[in-house]
Amino acid sequence: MPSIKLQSSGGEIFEVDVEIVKQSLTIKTMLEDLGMHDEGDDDPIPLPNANAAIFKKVIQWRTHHKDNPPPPEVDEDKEKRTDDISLWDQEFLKVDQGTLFELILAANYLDFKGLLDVTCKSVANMVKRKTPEEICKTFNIKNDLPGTNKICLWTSKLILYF
Amino acid sequence: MAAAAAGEEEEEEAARESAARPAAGPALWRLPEELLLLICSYLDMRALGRLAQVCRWLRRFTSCDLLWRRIARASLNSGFTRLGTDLMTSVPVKERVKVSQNWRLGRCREAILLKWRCSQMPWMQLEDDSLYISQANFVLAYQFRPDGASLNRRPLGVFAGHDEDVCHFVLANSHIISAGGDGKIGVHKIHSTFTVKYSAHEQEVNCVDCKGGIIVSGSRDRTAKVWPLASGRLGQCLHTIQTEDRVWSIAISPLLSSFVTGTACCGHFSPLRIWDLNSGQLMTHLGSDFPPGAGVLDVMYESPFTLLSCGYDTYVRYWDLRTSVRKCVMEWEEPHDSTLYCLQTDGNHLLATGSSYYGVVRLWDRRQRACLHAFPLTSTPLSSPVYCLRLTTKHLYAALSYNLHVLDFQNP
Repeated sequence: MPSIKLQSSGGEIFEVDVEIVKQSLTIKTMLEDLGMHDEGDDDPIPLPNANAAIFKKVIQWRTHHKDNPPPPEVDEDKEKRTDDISLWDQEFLKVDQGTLFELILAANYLDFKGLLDVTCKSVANMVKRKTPEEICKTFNIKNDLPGTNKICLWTSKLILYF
Repeated sequence: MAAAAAGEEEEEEAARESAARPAAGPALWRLPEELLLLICSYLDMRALGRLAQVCRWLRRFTSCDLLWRRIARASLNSGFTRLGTDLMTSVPVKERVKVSQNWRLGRCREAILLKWRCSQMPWMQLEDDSLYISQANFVLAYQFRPDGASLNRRPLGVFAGHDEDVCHFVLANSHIISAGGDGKIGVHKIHSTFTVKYSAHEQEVNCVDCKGGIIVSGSRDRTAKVWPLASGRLGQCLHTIQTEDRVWSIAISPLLSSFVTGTACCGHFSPLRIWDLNSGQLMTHLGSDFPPGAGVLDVMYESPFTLLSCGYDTYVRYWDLRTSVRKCVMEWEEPHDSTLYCLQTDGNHLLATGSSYYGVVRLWDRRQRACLHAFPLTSTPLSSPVYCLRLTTKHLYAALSYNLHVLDFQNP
């Protein structure tokens, strides 16, 4: 099976199956722009926006999902589900917040729509069914809204009842 | 004073701060705004509302129209049509979703806008910040105060000319077209004293509509007629249609190719018929097996292919000409077996109906079969039908025999 070489921001070089990364529009365009074809070329393609650790995770995700078709276009007006993350993905996304956000950035940069969807859903799930106070804690955000320090807990509890 | 000034300063500072996202801090801030938008697009109304209480920056960020649009389109009376056209671009979408919750929960403040001494059968129309209401043989124009829940007491304009009560009227091209109990149609220019009145029918003109320069009228004399609006040709009848039944309601299709009549279902047992506007020929009739007396008191087009009707048989029906003219798509039954005098819709999910007894106004979510809320508006022991209803995203106006009521959903 043909493979290509990709270079992460740290300079590390990965040799990857072409079929696995071709669903990335970014890489596909690069291959075409650089005049590269499926046959292995010796020069690695530089991907300055992805570091090695994240890149490994992305490839791991892509390899697992290589036989899955790209996600369907969703109707913008329908409520989007967040409870349909597969068990494998749930395990895969058990990472610290920093890594999760890096994964979102990488999925966005490489244009892996499936990975972008599932990572964003995962963050949305961290917000859902939480009080403002709990959201502050989850994401380590300081609440700078005037007059909320004391009543915040009280109102957020109240809101939960409705 | 000093405290107030300090408060203002603080607020100004807050406004400056909230414009920019804190550069350092939580890992979440590493994501660019378009990715945060994508994450937020997975959140429901409740989660977005809570996110807005987390910090200043998120409060501003989560207020953007884009995030609330999807939620607004699924909400009641939020100013979006079924196809997603935004009818009120001047009001932030999040604000509209907030008010929409009051419609869903039936939270509103009831007040009386106008009272009169004798029993009337008023009809009304809204345009911009004005309310037009018929009183005996007049049509009066009032201006709303900015809150929309009260009126300037002095009418802006009085349009007279009929010898008997005004049964019905519409606004079109800066004209009022009125239908009188004297069998006449009146055409009044709103911003001048120009008024023309002509004999149209042998008995009361019960209903009238005007679109695209054409007037249609329906009467107790069992005819519907088509007229031009052009000033030189007023009163020259284009078609006379024998309906064999008293005509109670009439509406021109948005495509201006046809019009629908709602009749008494006493002389002819298809109370809903659609006629070609150019030839006056019958095109089709809606439904089947109506019992005698199932007269249609109100009918309206929601799109060129969809109509809503209501009347004596206590049902609201939703018709889609593309699927079937014989069977309606959806129907809702007045639970107290009262005649439905009038109906209104937000063009999307909300339906409002006026019943024949105790001034009962009902709100319906068209995705559900059962009525959402009922508001009995008659304040005195006198029972009254709701003769006419009008809606904005913030208010509902209901005209009864002695009062004009408002339900204020913005400030419940």
